[in-house]
Amino acid sequence: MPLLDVADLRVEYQLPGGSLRAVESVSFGLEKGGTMGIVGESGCGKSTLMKALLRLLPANARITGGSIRFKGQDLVPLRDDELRRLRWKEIAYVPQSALNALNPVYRVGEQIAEAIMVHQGKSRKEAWERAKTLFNWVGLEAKRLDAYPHQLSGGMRQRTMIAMALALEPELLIADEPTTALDVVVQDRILQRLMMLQKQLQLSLVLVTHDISVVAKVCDRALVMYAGRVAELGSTRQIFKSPFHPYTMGLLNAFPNVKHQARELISIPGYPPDLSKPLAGCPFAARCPFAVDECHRAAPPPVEVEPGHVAACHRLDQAETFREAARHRSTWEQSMAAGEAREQQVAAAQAPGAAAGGAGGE
Amino acid sequence: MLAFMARRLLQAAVSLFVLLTIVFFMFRLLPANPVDAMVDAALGPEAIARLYAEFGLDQPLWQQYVLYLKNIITKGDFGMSFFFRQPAVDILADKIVNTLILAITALVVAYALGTLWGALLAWYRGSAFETAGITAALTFKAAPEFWVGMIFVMIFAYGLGWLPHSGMREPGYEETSVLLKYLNLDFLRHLILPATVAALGSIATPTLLMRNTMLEVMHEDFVELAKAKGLSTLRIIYLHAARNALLPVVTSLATNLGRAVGGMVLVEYVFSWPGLGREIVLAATRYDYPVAQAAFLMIAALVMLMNIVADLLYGYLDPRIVYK
Amino acid sequence: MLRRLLTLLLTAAVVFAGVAAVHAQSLDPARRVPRLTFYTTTPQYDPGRYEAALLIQEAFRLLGVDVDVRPIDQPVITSISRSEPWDYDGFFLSWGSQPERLDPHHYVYTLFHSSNLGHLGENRQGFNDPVYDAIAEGAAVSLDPEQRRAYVFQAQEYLADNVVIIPLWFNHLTQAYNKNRLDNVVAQPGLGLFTYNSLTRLRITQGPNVLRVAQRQDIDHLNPLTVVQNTDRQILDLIYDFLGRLDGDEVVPSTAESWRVIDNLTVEVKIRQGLTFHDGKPVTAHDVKFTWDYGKQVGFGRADTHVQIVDRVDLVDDYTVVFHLKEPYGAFINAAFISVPILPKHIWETVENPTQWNNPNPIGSGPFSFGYWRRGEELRLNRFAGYYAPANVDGILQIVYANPDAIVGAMELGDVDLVVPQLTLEQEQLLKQNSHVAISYVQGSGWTYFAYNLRRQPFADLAFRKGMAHVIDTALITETILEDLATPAGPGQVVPPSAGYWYNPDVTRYEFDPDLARRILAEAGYQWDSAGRLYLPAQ
Ligand SMILES: Nc1ncnc2c1ncn2[C@@H]1O[C@H](COP(=O)(O)OP(=O)(O)OP(=O)(O)O)[C@@H](O)[C@H]1O
Ligand code: SF4
Ligand SMILES: [Mg+2]
Repeated sequence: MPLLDVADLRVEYQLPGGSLRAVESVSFGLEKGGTMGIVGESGCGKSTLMKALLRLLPANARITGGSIRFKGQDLVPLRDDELRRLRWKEIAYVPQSALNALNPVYRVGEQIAEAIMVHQGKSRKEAWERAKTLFNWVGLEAKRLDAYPHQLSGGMRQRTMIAMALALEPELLIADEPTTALDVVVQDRILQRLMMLQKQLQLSLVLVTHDISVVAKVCDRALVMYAGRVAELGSTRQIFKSPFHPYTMGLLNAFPNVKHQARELISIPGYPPDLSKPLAGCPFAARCPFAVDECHRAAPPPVEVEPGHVAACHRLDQAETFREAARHRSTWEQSMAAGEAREQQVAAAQAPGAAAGGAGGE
Repeated sequence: MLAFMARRLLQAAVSLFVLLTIVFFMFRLLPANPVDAMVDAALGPEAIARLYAEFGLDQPLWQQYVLYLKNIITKGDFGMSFFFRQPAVDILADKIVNTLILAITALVVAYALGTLWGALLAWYRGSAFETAGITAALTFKAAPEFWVGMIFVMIFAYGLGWLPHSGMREPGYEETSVLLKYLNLDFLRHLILPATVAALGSIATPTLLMRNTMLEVMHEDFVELAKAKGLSTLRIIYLHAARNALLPVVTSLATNLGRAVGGMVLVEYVFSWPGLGREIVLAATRYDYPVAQAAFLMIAALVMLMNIVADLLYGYLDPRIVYK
Repeated sequence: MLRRLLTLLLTAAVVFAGVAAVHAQSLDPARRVPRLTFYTTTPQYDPGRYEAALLIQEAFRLLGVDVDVRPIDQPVITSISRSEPWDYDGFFLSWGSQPERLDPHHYVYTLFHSSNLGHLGENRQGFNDPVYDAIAEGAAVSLDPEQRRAYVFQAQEYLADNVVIIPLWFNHLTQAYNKNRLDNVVAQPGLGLFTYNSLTRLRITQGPNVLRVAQRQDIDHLNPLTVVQNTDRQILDLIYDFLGRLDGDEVVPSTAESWRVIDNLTVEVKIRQGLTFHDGKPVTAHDVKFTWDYGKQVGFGRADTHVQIVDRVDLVDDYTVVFHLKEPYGAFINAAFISVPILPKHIWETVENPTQWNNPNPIGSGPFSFGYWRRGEELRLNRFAGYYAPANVDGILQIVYANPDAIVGAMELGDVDLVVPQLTLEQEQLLKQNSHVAISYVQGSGWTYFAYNLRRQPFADLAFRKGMAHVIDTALITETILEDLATPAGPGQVVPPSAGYWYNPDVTRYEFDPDLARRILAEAGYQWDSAGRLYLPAQ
C-alpha cells in the first residue's frame, strides 16, 4: 500500500462568473520514503493540488471528486478536528510563499516551539531545546531562534520553514517551491540539506517546482502537470530519458542536461488555456507541434506506456519521432504559427454561433 | 527611540501652549463672565467690583494672560477656581480619578469584547452570525448613551433592584483609606451599570475595526501555515490572525482613552457619577475660567500622551517598527 | 383654560380684521414700533421662562408689535440686562427664594431706586422716577414697622400704576418628603422645608435617625464671606447662627437674646448667654462685633450691604453690643440680622487670605456642625447638642444626584427622605402617586418676571405699558405653564404674598382686554397701518 494514493482528484474554484477547474482528474501515488517532484508552468494547478492534499484550500475552492488516501485513509471526507490530528504531525507543509508564511510578530523559535507544544504537549523549554536541534539540522545558529522573521534573510527563512516542517518528524513533507525566490547557490545548499534530511529521517517528500532540473536532482519520481491535469507521470529516469508527452519534451528543452550537451535551450511558445472555459480536446493542443484534428476533439486518456510510466497523449506511438523533432527550435515555432491560425478559425467559427445562441435564447 | 520621544514631547508641548492661548482668550471673549453666572445674587456694583479684583478680572486682558502663563511656568499654578476657592488643579484631580476608573473599565471591557467579537465576525464572514453581530454593534453605537442608560437603570436598578441607580458608593459610607475607597465591593456594584453602558456605547469601534483588519490579515500566508500546523481554530484566530490585526485596534484604544475622559459626561449625568465630564460642563457654563482652561489642557495633554503611548505600543506589538 | 386660549385667539383675529378695514392714510415709517428683542432662558435651562416668552410674544402681536424671542444662556441675560449699554428690549429672569427677601427692601428699594441705575446696578429696567425714589427711601430708612409698611404699600401701588415691571408668577416651593419616616414637618413660608426651623423641628419616626436629603447641585465651598450659591448658603445657615432667625412671618432672636431700637441709627443687642461654637468656645459679644468689623474690612459677599451699612459696633459688655448705622436702614433687623452669620473670632482673626479660602472645616454655632464633605457625592452634618434649641435628628446627609430622574428614583425607592430642589410639574405628578411620599406646597419668596427697557421706546411710554398690561394674561400664562404650582402675579406686584405683613393685595390689576388695550393706545395717539402694525404717536 502506498503512503499516499491520490485518485481522480478534481478541484474547482468558485468565481463570480462561474467555476475554474484548477485540478482535473489527477491520480498518482507515493511510496513511503519516496520523493515525488511535481513540475509544470505557472498556473497549472500545482499549489492547488498541494493544498487539496492538506485540505487547506481557500473558502472559494471545492474538491469536486476523487480521493486522497493517506495510509489508506481518505482525507477528503474528514472533519476539521480529525484533520488537525494529521496535520504537521504526519503531513507537514512548506508553502510556496514560505518567505511570508512566518508570523511577523512572533520570534521564529516561538513559532517552531508552538507546533511542538501543541502536538506533543511538551513544555516550552523542551520545545525550545528541540527547536535548537532542528536549527542545527538545517544549518542555522541557535541564537537565530530569537529573531523575528523580518530580521532573517530569505534563505534563513526557508531553512526556518524546513526546520519547522521537520519539527515533528512527519511521514510526509509537502514542499511547494521551497527554493524558488532564492539565488542559485543558496537554493542548491538548501536542496542538499533537504535531501540529506529526507534520507536521514526516512521522509516521504512531495516537491513542487517549475524547474525541472530540481526534479532531476532531488526526486525519484516526477509528475508533469499541464492545465490541471497529469500530462505525464513516471520515474525521473523514465521521464528524462524517454518522455512520451510532447509537453514534457518541451520542458526538457529548457533543461541544460549534462548528458545531452548539444541540446538547445528552447522555451515553449504560447500560453496554457484558460481553465475557466470548457475544454474539448487535449489541453496542450493549441501549443503542440504534433497536434492533429483528433487532439482538438477529444481529451487524451492517461495510458500506461511502460510499468509505472503514464502519459496522456493521442499520439503516444509517435513518441520516438517527436523526441527528435522536439529538439529543434523550428518545430516549436511552426506549431506557434499553426496554433494561431487555428485559434482564428475557431474564433470565427464561434462568433456567429455565439450570436445565434444569444438570439435563440428562449 | 529617545530622540523620537523627545521630539514627540516637544511637539506636544508646543501644541499645548497654542491650545492654552486659544482657550484663554476664547473664554474671555464670551458675552458673560463668572460674576454674571452667580445666579440670583443681586450683589450690586461694589461687591461685583470686589469680586472682579479677587478674580483678577479687573486687569487688562494681556496682563491676565501674562500672569496666567507666568504662574503656570514658574509655579505650576493653574489658578484658583472662582467658585470653589480651591486650586483648579485640585478640583480636577479629584474628579479625573473617578472618570478614569469609569472610562478605563468601560474601554477595556469594550475593547476586550469588541476585539474578540470582531475577530469572530471576520472568521465567520458572510454568515448570518456576522450580520447579526454587526447590527448589534451598530445599534449600541447609534443609540444615545442617555437612553441606554435610562433603560438599564429602569431594568436593573428600579425594576430588579440588583444594582444601585446613582453615585459611586452607598450614601453615608465609612471613611477608609484612599485605596480602599475604590477597592471594595460597594464601589464595584456602583461601577457595573455605568461602565456597562459606556462600554456598549464604545464597543462598535473595536468590533468593526477588528473585523476589517482581520479580514485583511486572514488572507495572509501565515494564517494558512497556522492551519497547516494543525492548530485549533481559536488559536489561529486569536494567537495568529488577531494578534496581527490588533495593531490598529490598540492604537484606537489609546487615543480613545484620552478622549473618553472628557466624553463620559452623559453616562456621568445619568448615573450621577461624580466625574470630570460634569465638572467641565459646570465650569464652562458658569465661566469658571481657571477650571475650564485647566480641564481643556489636561484632556488635550492626555490625548497627546495617549497618542505617544499608542505609537510606543505599536512598536511593541509589531517588531518590524523602528523609531526614527 | 382652553376656553380662555380660544378667546385669546379669536380676539386676535377680530382685531386684525378690524384694523385692516381702517387705514388708508399713510404713516411715517420712522414712527413704526420696531421689531423688539426679548431675551429668555433656553428651554433646557428653564422651560417655563422660555414658554412664557413665547406666550408674551403672542400677546404683543395683539398690539401689532413683532417680537423676536432669543433663548440664551442665563448668565448672558444677566450680563446684557445689567450692563451698559443695556442693549435689549425685554428679558425674562427670576428672583429666587431667600430669607431676606421676605423683607421688602430688595424688591422695593434695590430693584427700583434710581441710585441703582448705573452699570451693574440692579435697577436693570432703568426706572428713574423722583416720586418713586422718595417712596422707596421712606420704606428703606424707617425702622418703625407701621410707618415702613405704609411706604411699602405705596411703592407697590406706584409700581403697579406705572407698569414698571411685570412679575408673571410668584414661585412656589414644591418639595417631596417621606411621610412614613418624617413627622412634624412644617414648611417655612417663603423658604420651604430645607430651612433652619423646619429641620430643627422635624422628627424621624422610624429607621436611622439621620435625615437623608437629595440635592441636584453640590455645594461649592462653605466660606460665609464669599458664598454666592444658594445650595452653599442653605448649609451655612445650619452651621452658623445669626442674631435673628426667621420663624413664620417674623424675625425672632437667636444668637441675640433681645434687641432694642434706640433710634433710627442705633440698635442695642443683648447676646444669649451660654452659647458655644462647635469647637466648644463660647459665643460672646466680641464675636458679634468682630463679625461686622471683619466683614466691613474684607467684604461679605451676599451680605455685604448688611455689614457696610454699619458705621461702628460698640461693645458694652461681654454680652451686649450697640450697632451704629451710617444711615437709617429699615431692613437692618429683618434682613441683616438673619443674613450675617456670626463668625468665631478666634478662628477668623488668624486666617490669612479669607476671601480666597474655602473654609474646609467650618466652625459655627448653629444647630448642626459640619461632619464631612465628599465633593460630588455627599455632605454630612451632625446635630449640635450644645445649641439652645437642638434638633431632633442626629444629622443630615445631603446626597447629590445629577439628574431629575435619579432624584425621583431615589425618593421612590426610599433612598432619601426629602427632596430639596423645587420639583418640576412632571416630578410632582410622578412622586404624588407614591403612598409614602407627601408633597409640601408653600409659597416661595421669589418671582419670575418680564422686564423691559424703560430707557427706550415703546416701553418708555406709560400709555404703551398700560396697553401692554391689558394683553398680558399672567393668570393664563401661569396656569398654562405651571398649573397650580405657582401663584399668578401682575404688573408692579413685586412683594410676594409670602411676605405677609408687607404684601399689598390691593394694587391696580389689569384685566385681559385687548379692545381696551387698543383703545388706550389709540387715545394716546398710536396708530396702525393697513397690515395692523403699530406706530408711535406723532410728536
Ligand atoms: N483562490 C483562488 N481563486 C480563484 N482561482 C485561483 C485561486 N488560486 C488559484 N487560482 C487559479 O487556479 C489555477 C491554478 O493555480 P495554482 O496556484 O494552483 O497554480 P501553480 O501551478 O501553483 O502556479 P505557480 O507556479 O504560479 O505557483 C490558476 O489558474 C489560478 O489562477
Ligand atoms: S494529444 Fe495531441 S495535442 Fe495533445 S499532446 Fe498529444 S499530440 Fe499534442
Ligand atoms: Mg504554486
